[in-house]
Amino acid sequence: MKTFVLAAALLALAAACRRPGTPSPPKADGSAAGVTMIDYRPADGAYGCRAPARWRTDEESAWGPAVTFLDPDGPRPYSHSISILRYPGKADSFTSAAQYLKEAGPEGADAGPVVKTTEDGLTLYRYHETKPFRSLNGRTVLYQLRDDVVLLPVKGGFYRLTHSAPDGEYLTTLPVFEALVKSFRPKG
Amino acid sequence: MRSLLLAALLTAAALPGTAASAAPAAPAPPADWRRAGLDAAAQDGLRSLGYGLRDDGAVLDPKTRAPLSDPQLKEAVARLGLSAQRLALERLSVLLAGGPLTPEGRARVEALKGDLPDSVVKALDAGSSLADLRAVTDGALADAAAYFDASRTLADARAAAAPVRAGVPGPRPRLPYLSIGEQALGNSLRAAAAATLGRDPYGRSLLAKLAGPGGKPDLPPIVVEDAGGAAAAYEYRRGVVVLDRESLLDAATGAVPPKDRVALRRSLSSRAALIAYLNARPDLVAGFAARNDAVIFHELVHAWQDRRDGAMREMSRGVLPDSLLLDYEQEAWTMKNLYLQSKLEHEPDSVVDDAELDDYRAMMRDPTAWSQALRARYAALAPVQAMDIPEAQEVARRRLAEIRARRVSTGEQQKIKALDLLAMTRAERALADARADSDARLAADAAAVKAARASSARLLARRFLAEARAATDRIDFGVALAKAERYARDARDPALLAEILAQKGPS
Ligand SMILES: [Zn+2]
Repeated sequence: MKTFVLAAALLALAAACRRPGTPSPPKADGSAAGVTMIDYRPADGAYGCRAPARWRTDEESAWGPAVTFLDPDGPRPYSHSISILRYPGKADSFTSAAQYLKEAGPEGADAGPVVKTTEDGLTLYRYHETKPFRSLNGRTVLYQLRDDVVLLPVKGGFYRLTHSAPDGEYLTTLPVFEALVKSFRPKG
Repeated sequence: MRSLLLAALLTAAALPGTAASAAPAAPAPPADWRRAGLDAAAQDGLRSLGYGLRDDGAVLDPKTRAPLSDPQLKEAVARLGLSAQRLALERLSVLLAGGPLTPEGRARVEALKGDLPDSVVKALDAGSSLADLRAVTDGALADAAAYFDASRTLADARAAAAPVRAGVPGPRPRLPYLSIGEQALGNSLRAAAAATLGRDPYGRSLLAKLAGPGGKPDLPPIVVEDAGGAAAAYEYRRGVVVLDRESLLDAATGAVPPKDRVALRRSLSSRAALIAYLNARPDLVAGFAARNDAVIFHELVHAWQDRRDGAMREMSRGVLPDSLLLDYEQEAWTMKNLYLQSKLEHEPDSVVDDAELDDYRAMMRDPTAWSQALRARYAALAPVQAMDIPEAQEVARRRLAEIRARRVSTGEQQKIKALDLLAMTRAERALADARADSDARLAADAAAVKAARASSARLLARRFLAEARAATDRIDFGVALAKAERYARDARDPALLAEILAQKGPS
């Protein structure tokens, strides 16, 4: 179906404000990169974390539990986002982070190596990859999208926490993602 | 910041001639959309409403096919902007109905601002109270609704309220073609698309869903127009698949020796010339359909959704807002990828290595992240129009309440109100039915994808191995073989990998 993409493009021109120029670490008052954070818990209560208060929240469950936070600010509204996906989903059969890394891990020339870390007692796998971000009809590459991925193993599966943003400007909202990751606590 | 609405209104303001200045006796001169300087969004919007934008500048009415006058074009463009404004106001109203705006709610409002009227934007920016915001929003909505109501006659209300059988266009133009040549090309493109899809079992299953009364595939009309970068699009207002003129022009010029391309491109610069050229070359048309079958498949899934559910019919009548339903998009993208999977199984050398195949690979690699990313992409690129079915239901409920509250003073107004209630109630039910079925369909698609993932990488490895074997130059050979090798590793198939590595030979 066709849409008025222009509406989004013009809106983008007008909203070019408030994007901080350089990353900054999370602040003591709970804000990160100038973004106020609030507590977030999905309907099933499976986990809790801090999440950006002003960002749009999409909770869709077409193919498994998922939430996406989308940043309304910046030159391209909603082009910076953070998602939390729970595996296995309805259309995949990934039961462990290790299996995921083997079958769907970092891909492409710009992909970063997988780094295993222990943060606040939780084991995390981190990597990044870059892929083309396409127009709605899929034909035109609008820019390169950088994904910073954190896999967090839990009983029976794992979470995939992802920060996605245009390659050249991902650093501006990465601290928001880091604050979310740091606060992420699966239940049980 | 005023986005489409502003673009539309500015364009309307810039158009020469007004209703007041036109002499009442002489017919107004025909409008010229090129001279009027319509931007791409306004052109797209008009086309999607069924207006014909001819190369000579004339704009044809969706129903009568008569050229519009300047005031008529101005009116059509203003209406386009107002309909975007109305949807933005409706979404705002739904958000405000939920009580004080949360920070997240404010973020959603931010995305609507571009299509909201100034009075509402000012109230939002001034941090007005919830009650004031609701009042100013309801006032603006009443104005927008009154605009549409005032231009509707009892006959229009009757047409929108009359039940429509699945597959019947209702008030939509029955013949979207502007000329005999265009119709001939449309028919040969439909035949070529049906022939291509008919070679594959999954393709045949879609054709069966599009079968007409006689049981034969009855594809929607296909028109060739400027599609703003899209290779193809399904437009439910006209019930047509649009194929991009530029893509067809590329196909035509690509088929001649490089030295002749510039001259050919120049000679085919008018739509009529391109159509005549393609009508004389059925092989070119067939080749285009075969190479672009994945995008055509996607758009035909939308055509099936349109015949299956009432939602797009209600949108085309203006009963439901002109929106992009995310469940429909996910279904179309998923089925397109299952079609590619089926082609990789049955006729791998017919699968084109393009953006559609990249998308297939991304879905098969991690369907859960693919589905999330698809929805996030629509949220970023179409923040006002993209919504899921429950959101569309909320807007529909709002419209129903608005009709119920409408005060009437004449018998005709009373009749229109009754018909509007009928249409809106039916539209609400259409969305409820679509929602109920959509969950089951998405679940079935998920199961199909899960099953297909087991063989996906192996099928890709085989397809690229075959391409390498058929390659006539070293570079093509190397690229295809490298892809085959990567997919064979993904597939964890040592025998296939060995077969691929054996192709390398001494360098
Ligand atoms: Zn689509």
